[in-house]
Amino acid sequence: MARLLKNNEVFQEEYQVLGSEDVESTSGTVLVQAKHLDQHLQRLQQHDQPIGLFLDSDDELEAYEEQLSNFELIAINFPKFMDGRGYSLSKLLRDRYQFKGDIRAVGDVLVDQIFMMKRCGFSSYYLRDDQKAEDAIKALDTFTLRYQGSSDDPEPLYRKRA
Amino acid sequence: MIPMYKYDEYDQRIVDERVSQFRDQTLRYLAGEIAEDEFLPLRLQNGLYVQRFAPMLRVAIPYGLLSTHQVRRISEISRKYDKGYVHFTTRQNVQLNWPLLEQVPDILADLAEVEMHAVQTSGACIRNTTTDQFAGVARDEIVDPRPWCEIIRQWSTFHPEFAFLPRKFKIAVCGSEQDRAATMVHDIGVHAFRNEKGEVRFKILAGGGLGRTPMVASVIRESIEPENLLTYLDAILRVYNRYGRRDNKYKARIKILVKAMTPEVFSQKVEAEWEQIKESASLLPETEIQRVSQHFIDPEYQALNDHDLNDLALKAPAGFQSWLKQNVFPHKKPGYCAVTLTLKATGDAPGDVSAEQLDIIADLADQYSLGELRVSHEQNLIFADVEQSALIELWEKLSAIGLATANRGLLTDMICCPGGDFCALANARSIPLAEEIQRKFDDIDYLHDVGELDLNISGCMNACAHHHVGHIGILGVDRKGIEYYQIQVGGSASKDASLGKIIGPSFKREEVPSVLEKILSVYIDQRHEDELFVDTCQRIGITPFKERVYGQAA
Repeated sequence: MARLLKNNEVFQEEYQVLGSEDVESTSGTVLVQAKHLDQHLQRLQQHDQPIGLFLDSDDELEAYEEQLSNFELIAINFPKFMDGRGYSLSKLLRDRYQFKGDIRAVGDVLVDQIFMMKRCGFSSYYLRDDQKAEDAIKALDTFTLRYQGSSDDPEPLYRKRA
Repeated sequence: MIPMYKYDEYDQRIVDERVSQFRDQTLRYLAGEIAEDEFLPLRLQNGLYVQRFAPMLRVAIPYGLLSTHQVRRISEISRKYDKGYVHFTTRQNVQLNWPLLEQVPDILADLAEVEMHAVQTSGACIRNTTTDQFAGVARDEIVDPRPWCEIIRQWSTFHPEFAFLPRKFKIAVCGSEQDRAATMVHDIGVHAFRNEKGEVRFKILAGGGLGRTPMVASVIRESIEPENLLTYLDAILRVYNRYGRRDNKYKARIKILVKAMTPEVFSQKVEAEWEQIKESASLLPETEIQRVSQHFIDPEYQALNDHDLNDLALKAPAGFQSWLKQNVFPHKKPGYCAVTLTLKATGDAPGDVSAEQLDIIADLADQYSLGELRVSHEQNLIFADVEQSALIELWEKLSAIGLATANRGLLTDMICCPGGDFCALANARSIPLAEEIQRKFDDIDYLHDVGELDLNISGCMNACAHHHVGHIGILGVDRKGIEYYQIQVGGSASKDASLGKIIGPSFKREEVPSVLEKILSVYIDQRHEDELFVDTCQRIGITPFKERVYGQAA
């Protein structure tokens, strides 16, 4: 079970990441690794389970462009919180590919990065086990102002100042 | 009005909220709720290092500008929280060497009250943007870089996409004929110029840097319009964030990516990215350029005439003349000049200033330079708007506090990192070597005869003192626990930047001053009339230096 922060609330949720292995049965939310999508997708679509696309930080997003519209959930992995590639991936999903579904941070997801994740278009977060839920909710509103436009609000401060 | 950016309520709220955020993070860290390695990038992005003996707090001086109000606050902070002195760095920052971690949020709050911060002065993020210390007053200026630096500062502050880059990222802007900001050895160099119609444009360079793999930046785009500057930077940073190496921190800077891809391919990749993002709300509107530029309009200069400075020198006490020649820089307005206070007096660590000196400097800047102080990457301080008629008086007052050393640009005005005395990364000490060199070369007439010479001393290959681009560069190395120093000659940080060449095996510290003397004797023997040391080096190559230093057999 993981703790999912979404819409300012924290839920318990079961999820599973599918890689190259063949899996008979699945439970909870199923996240399919982008590079193994073909292997699982057809079978999974016959079930009535929530399915998400799982992108690793080094995945070349452009290669999956065609697939994106099949999903309402895309998870982006942070293998380490210091790996900042996920921020660019999320922004590309929102700004370039107009992805309207849920973008979820997975992996080394810590309270002190959540604000930036939200700014880059993330909409839900599987918190790492030791992170406090109430701190995470509070962190979503760390700053009331931002200089740059980003996926959460494309208008930079300089367009509001005038 | 001092020509510098004044915060509005938005800017103020952003730094205030940053202080609250870091206060909360520090408390959670002290309560054991944030692990050491997870607190690390949070404190670094607020300028806080844990050094060899104590924490060190690096405070930003955005593009080198300070009001005297801010100078006094820095002095106050250094007394209240530290040992009463501060250190100016090679990237227009100021460091406190002994603050307590627990007190850092209070220090940041005191700084925020005077529109200062320590945001992104360290960490794998976009660092303080730097520029020419003579911005706005230099005669060779084409475009005032200060508004552009402020625009870049705001864009880069808490940029959510680029807070965890593969490695640190430094941007420098130059708007004059001469590059006084070492832009060629920055991750991004921005050269502001005017096209044939007189419109402002930017040439964008990337992939410069020093450290273990020194490289001069390559041109990525010849010309970009002001409204597109920020989206173009976004495109470069995005390509770097996605494709820069993260497996090896020594290969993680953008220079490695640019070299691996080749500058041409890197540029194509950036262009392709930019094509996709250039039409967005991030286009910089003319109104914003105007708003920021308003802060940097000229102060009300008096209508003065230029003095005959040689005539002035004749009336002055001994010692004034060499200071005038070396430390006084021409100003765009008649009757004015800019004055450099070198923080390189023998016996003081290069870049260090005491709180008492800071207070007097603030008073003098109020009296003689419109209430403003500049900081240069050579670790010196500048009064940018001094009336020529006040030069003698100012020189006397600076002499009284030991800040009129007439060595600006000379051998003893060296750039020097804190080295092994303070820094945990260093292989060797830099400050004692700097002092030994200053003691050896204490004859000001000899120094003036040798002329303009950049000497850069780094205590390790991270190259904080930019030794690769010093006319003479010294690198501290560790050989079986003993400090040795490797010497290179012929580097340059100007627009036609070049990297120095190592002359041969390294030396013990006590040998270095006499080795320098030999190197200088080669120059004195071989120079053509008025030829600078670096030009002689580039003309004759390193062999004559090798031969003189190591003997013919080497």
